[in-house]
Amino acid sequence: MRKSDEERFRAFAGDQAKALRRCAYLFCGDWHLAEDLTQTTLIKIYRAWPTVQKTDSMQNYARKVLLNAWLDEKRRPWRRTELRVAAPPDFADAGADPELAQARSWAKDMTHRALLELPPRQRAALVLRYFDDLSVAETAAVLGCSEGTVKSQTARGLETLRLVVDNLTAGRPARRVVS
Amino acid sequence: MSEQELREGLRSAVEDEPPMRVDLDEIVSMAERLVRRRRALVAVGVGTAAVTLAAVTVPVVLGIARGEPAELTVAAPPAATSTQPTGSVEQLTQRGKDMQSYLTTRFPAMVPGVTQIDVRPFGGEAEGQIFAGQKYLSGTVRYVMHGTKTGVIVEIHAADDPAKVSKDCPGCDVRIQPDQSTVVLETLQSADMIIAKHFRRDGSVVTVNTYGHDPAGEPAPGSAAKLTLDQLVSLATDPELHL
Repeated sequence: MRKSDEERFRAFAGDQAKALRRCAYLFCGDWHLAEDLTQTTLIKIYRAWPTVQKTDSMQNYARKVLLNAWLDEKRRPWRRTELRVAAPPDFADAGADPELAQARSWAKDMTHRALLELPPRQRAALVLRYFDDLSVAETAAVLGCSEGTVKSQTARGLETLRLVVDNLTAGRPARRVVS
Repeated sequence: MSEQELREGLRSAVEDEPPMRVDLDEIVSMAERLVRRRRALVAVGVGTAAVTLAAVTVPVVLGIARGEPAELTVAAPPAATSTQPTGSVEQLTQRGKDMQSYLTTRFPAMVPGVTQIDVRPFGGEAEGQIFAGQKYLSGTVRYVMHGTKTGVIVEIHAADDPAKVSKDCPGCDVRIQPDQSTVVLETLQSADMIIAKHFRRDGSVVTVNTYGHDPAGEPAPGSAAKLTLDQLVSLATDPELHL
């Protein structure tokens, strides 16, 4: 890759890495996996950089690559990594203050817990629409589906989310769905 | 939960994110390594083909082969090598279209009883999207079976695709084909899916995933919607599915 292209890629990756990792976290619910997915996404974008630069929205292209990396990870179990230590590391988290944890907002825990109960495409539609603030058309482009599908996925996702939040709030088991 | 509450909930869910450990230098060097490895594999393939061609043509040209030169046959095309340089974006796009068209007629004949068949365009990182140097094609056939909306995912990996499909699969059903190639069938009960991996003699790999539910999102468990093992093997070994 030419030096100028590499510099442009570095600037793009530097700008987008954090946003991509947050989006990945909301998709998968695990910061470590989110970081791996971000790295995979940036490597794929680097390898296709000449093409990526010609796309209308590089940010949405990156989201599309990220979404596919995540779906790919979910549907290819043989690629998942294993825990390579004899026993899980078990040590105290000095930063974990029970009182602070108690004070965490209701919405934070509840929303994310409920979100992880949704099927992947519905989850992605909600994250793209309400976290990344994409329009219906942009979300459709990232998900690779029609605008009508985005609307129905979003509506169904919100409905399921409300149901799960109600259940969790009432202490009932969340509506477990296959994803 | 209102849309506004969802927005706020999502924002606050990422508030206490851990420090970023993604290193741009590492990403660039890793990507460069992959690019170099791909080029090297292509170079090895081309080099092997050139040596094979030379080995056949030089004796003919110099007249040092056995028998009369006039009786010598024209040099044969180079034999298949361990790597196959994957085509350009245009070639891969065309290949994807050919396979999409083929599956549109082949799939209903192979899997009786399915309705609403929708063969999606082949692509890479995203549906219908192919990037330069891509070493695989991925496509989805959506359909409805026994009232369940589901689909199969077909992937064709070139022999030099850096993302190697693992052949190791303890306890899996292994079927040797008449041409001595191998099909590995992996059943994942927890994920309600079966994967067929056909390791072809030219080094390429075709994988076909079938699900008992909609892999695109709608939860509707029901293993009756999955293809049978024989249908999976038939699809994975179909010679029309190649790069």
